[in-house]
Amino acid sequence: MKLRNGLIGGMTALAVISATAGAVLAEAQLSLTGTALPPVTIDAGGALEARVAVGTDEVSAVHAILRPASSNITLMRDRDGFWMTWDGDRASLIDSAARRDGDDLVFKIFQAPPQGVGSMTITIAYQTPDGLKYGWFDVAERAQ
Amino acid sequence: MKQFLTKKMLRGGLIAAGAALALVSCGGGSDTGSDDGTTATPGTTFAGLIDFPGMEALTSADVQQIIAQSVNEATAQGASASIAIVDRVGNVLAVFQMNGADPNLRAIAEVPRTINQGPLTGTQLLGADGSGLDGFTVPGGAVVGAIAKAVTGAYLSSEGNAFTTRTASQIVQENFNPEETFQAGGPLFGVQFSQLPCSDLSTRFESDNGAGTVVGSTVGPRRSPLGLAADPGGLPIYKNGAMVGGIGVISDGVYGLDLSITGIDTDAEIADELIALAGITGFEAPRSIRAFNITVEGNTLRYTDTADDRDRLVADPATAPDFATVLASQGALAAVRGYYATPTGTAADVLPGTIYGTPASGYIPASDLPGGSPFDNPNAFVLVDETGAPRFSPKAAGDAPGGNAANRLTANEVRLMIDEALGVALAGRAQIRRPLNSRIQVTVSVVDTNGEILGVARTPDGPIFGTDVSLQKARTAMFFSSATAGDDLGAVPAIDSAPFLAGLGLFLPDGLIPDPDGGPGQRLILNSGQSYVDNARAFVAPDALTGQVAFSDRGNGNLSRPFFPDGVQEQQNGDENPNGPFSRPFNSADTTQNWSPFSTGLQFDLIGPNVLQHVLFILNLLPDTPVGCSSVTDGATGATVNLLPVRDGVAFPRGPLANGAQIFAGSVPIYRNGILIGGLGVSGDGIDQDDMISSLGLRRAGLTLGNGLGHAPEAIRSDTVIPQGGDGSRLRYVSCPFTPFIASDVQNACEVL
Repeated sequence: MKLRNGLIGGMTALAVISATAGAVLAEAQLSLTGTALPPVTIDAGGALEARVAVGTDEVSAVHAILRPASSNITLMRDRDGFWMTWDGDRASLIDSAARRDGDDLVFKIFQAPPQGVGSMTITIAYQTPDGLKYGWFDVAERAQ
Repeated sequence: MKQFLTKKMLRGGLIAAGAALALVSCGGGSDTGSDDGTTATPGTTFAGLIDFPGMEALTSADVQQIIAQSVNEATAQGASASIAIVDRVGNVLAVFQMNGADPNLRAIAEVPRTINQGPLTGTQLLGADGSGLDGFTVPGGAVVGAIAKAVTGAYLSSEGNAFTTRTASQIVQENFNPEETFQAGGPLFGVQFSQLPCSDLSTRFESDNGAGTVVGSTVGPRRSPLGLAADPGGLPIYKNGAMVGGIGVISDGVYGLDLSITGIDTDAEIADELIALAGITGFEAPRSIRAFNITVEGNTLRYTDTADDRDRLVADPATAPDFATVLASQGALAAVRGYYATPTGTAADVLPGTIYGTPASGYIPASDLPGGSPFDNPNAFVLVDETGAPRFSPKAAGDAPGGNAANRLTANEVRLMIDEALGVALAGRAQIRRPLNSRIQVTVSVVDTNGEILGVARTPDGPIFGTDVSLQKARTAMFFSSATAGDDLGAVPAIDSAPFLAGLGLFLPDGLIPDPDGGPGQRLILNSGQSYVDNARAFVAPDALTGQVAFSDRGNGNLSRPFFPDGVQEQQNGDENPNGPFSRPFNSADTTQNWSPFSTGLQFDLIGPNVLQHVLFILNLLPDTPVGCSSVTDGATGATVNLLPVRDGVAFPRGPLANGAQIFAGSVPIYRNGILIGGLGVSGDGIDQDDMISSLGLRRAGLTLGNGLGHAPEAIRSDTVIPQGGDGSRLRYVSCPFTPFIASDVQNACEVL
């Protein structure tokens, strides 16, 4: 399966991970053991990006994974914004896209969610020499 | 509140029929139960085609008629009720609140109990002081309770069995039958904590993720706000013999259970049930499939406390006014956040139900999938999303069992296990369905070691509750058999709700929730996961919860009962037997710690914060509980508080018990060459049948594959364990019914395991 979502056109929804030391939810960075991140609400059909503070981490690859709510389907995003089925094996994760903004990485997730997916969990990750750092957050469309 | 306690204590009723029925006669023939998996004993698997459920649904006019008939009866009784109607998959079709109805839900699960043994003899325990949900009073919660009761009436029933919330009450208590000491706990002990609001399987109509109100799914099966209910007054609804929904009524403001099986409720005590019975006049369950025609473990089940549907009604349902009149003068449709909206406030807000078996219901025959069925069995039903796409088709695992990805389950293995389980089920003789010799109808779920759902499928007419429960069972068997179970549980914090709510300014200054009756402020106090780990290591063995034992859900259930051995309250020396390490004690002097059906122990303490957060969401006080039962939101700070840790957030960003734990039998852990690789759960019929289907389904798949997949080695199964703190009794692994197959004379089907 390969779904086209297009490029990010704006910054209408952000998952901003700030350096809030000690907070359970909003850690400054993604982690090797995974971090639960704040949920995000988007407008119906709206775009989504995620901003992550990486500090001095040496990032060699980035990944974005989408899991529609109440489903066991898992999709991964390629550099061009296409979504394709992921088998759950980290070794088979393909590279996605993100841009550097100072010490932040801005992940391009989608310009519009995949058709029929209004509620989902997004996992964002980047590869470092120490291993994969990652976190996840729930995304849902705002009720009209 | 006292009056309610007294009333509930007196609830009860006669067993509708006499001695238990022998389900089958014992014919001669083989007693070996043998099958070699690849060439199963004839008659022990079935792949023919059976009838699918009727394509019926409630119309909006039907729902209006049911409400009008309910209100008519309530009015005649001098009662004011909250009434909820749902369809078979839990869509809320209407919530009606009569003028003057008590809006509150008092003492969610008050369980008055007089101690009759030991040093506390004569003491009455109320459990109303922080022990789980016992004694909790929810301001504005009557409609919440009504929905939970309606969902229960719908979810426990099918075209082969009609169960009510009174039936539920009978099968979830510490003895079965209730009050019969030395009898094991109810066969569905713990089912009340299923269909949870934090489930990752049950869908949401609407939610609030903390960043605003968000849309949910348009299809079922829906979650229930409080799990399943045991308070009489929840009944199934039928139309032309087809199971189409449920009704839930609360007129007394109490959400309790029937503690006594030997009495019949008084007119005042039975008000909820009578109002519901009047409501569904014309939509009754066929008499032949009602609970009182069904036996379990030698006990006849209870349907209602009436001799027939009409004998105790005060009003003739035929005299009910039309709905327009009712709506104009006797109450209003009531919006319930997350469940039911009333955009117009008119009769137009009364919704029709979905037709079970069509995409709108969330369930369809697998053969109707665009690409065809992934299963060989032609009877398989599957869950679909709003676009008609399958939700849980068989897929490969993404974990690395034993540190090696090569051990993981493949999609074909998942499919085969489900197919084999469905074949065993449909060859089997149902315990809870009528007519006799009906085939078993269940749901089957398979998970990996992260708790990821690898596949779910069902027979056409399995009760809906088994969808969520089969997944709970699969995950529970996997989780408690895993090497990191103790470490994972050790990370679950003790929780006191008061600090979480103190900063909101919505409650009393100290974060206590006001009692609308003027009682003391309320809080929910939950034990830490580590306390249960400590209990298990003291009671079972020092290395408990480290992967040394393969726990079926039957074995885990043995440790989750308030007595060990199950149901045996007293030892010969007069001391009370200990509670299982995952249960709260039954007769602790510290009443805040005591067990009740609504404060079961580890099972509830893992998800209690989610239930409370969800109730506060309904009341528009907090965001909704996160999906996955793995975290809650700190109401004061908005931060997420983690509960059961996520095992691999890349492959599966939820905890391994992402729809809660289940503690009654019907699942087995899956191994490959001695390494734990997942769990297989079954739910929908008797627990022995569920055990048989899960265990034989796994065995047959393993023998067919011939690659090491199968049961745990016998030496590590839970039936080898004699807890050091017990009386010498061993735990169980699986237990199969006698002569379980319709077309085979095999006597002991589990002998081959």
